Amino acid sequence: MKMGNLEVLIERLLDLEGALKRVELGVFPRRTQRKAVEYIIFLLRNLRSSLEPLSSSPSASISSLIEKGYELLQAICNIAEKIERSNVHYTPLGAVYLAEYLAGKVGEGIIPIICFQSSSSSCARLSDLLKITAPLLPLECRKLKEDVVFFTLPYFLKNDPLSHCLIARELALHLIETKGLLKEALTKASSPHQLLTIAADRLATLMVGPAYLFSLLNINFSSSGREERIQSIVHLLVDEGYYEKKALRHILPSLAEARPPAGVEYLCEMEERFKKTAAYYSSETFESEVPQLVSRLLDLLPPNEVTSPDMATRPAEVPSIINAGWVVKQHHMSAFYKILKAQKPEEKYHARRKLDALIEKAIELSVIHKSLLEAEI
Amino acid sequence: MTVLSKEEILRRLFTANKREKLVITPLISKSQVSAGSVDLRLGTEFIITKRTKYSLLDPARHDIEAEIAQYQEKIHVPFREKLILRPNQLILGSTLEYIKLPGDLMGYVIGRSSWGRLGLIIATATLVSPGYTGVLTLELVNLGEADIALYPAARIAQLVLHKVTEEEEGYLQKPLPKYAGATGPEFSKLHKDKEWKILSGGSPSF
Repeated sequence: MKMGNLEVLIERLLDLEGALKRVELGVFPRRTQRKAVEYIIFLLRNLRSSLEPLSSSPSASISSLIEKGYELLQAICNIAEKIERSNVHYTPLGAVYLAEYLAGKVGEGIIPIICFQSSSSSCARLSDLLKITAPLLPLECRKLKEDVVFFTLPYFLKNDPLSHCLIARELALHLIETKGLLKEALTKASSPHQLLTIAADRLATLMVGPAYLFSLLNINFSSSGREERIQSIVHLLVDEGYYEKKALRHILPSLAEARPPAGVEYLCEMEERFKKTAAYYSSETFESEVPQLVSRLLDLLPPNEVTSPDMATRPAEVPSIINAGWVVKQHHMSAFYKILKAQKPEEKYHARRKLDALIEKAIELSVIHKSLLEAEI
Repeated sequence: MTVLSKEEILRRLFTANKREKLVITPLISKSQVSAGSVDLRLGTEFIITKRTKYSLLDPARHDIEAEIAQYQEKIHVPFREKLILRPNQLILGSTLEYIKLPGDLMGYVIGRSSWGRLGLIIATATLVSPGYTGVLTLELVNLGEADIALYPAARIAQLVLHKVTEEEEGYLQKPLPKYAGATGPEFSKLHKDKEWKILSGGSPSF
């Protein structure tokens, strides 16, 4: 019986290898996907070469190996689906740039892959596969220089670049989990799930500012802790000084909604530490960049650059670009429609798509501009 | 119509006067501005053409948009990677820079001679109207014998700027133009010209 199971497993691994080779032929925004597929095929081959000799000389550990093989098969199928969905037809470039920007700021040596799926699923990592197969691999192959992390956003947000900043929450969850940021607090909390959710919301807000709250409200989410989540983000935005910013007047929710979350004492220390990292986006940066970027959008220019009083220009921070987009969307759309002479619903739809295109263009230009400045071209 | 000097281009780029302001964003380095022109970089998005069952692109046909959709494919070449342009191949690219001309300036996009010597033609329809806003679509053709590697963000074209004798009504003040606010290369919208109904003998028949 066990031998039969082993043969079936080996056949499935071969099937999967063939399927992955077809996935590899897709057109992807980065080389990462192809490298990830190559790596997974490498893992599969190693697993097969460990299993194949057992078909002729069974060993006592065959059951646990088969179990491990199926575990790996399941995990690879999950990741293969994400790789397939991350091709250029399914994944807008703005989201790719944004994820790379945020991952680069966090600086944990991770390469993000973004995919948009109809079903929500938690983030997956290439290193998870390694954990499963590690005992079967040669020693020198048991470590990854950089981990590839797959972040998933709902499919209906694919063409909504302003809402792509919800990636910040996925990244926050990854950080909390892999760095054990709230390990102790989660064991003590009365509702660990709610504490984790609120902690991720707050870290995401520290990464991208009020744009995170606008995105969250925009998806019209409903969950049991919805009120508490909103109140906690509003409370953080008040603390961060966003309620004093002119550009956000009349846009942010009422101050009456600000309430500290349960377990705030656990969160403070984590947040203070986070604020010392490059990934922190402050309200001072918001204030110095967003109003200018809003003006650029209203001139039908991509909001990619800010100008200092001496007329020197520099690339804008990516969270500022997204915040500027939200400010226009929430407060200046009638002016934007007027510029584009959009009156009918279809014309207004195209005007909104133009705004999205300017945001995506600005994110790309800002990232390339920074790279060229660093290279001193 | 005079050609703008380097000093005048720089003044226009950095003036706070909105009416006179020339926007070329991002301008990575002032060294892109030289006597009479501004160097422009290659963008990351391209439209390549592919072989389809259609052998003829006829702008007068009622189903031309569907034909065009089958005939073209948008691709993205990331920064620090390259695209190979084969001999005699036509692809559409765009400038990396987003441009906004004031109402009293117009421009011509021309190739850089270093690329031209390799056989690369970058634009055939080169006029940029006063008040134009958006990236500039480039028609890239390799007229040489060997493949040419194209790198996004490489300086590939030059924009020569002229002052028009009388200020034009801004590009966006007129009825909305076909290519206003483009953020990437755009395929031909020739079929949207009103004259096709007359030229093709009236309304299309089914």
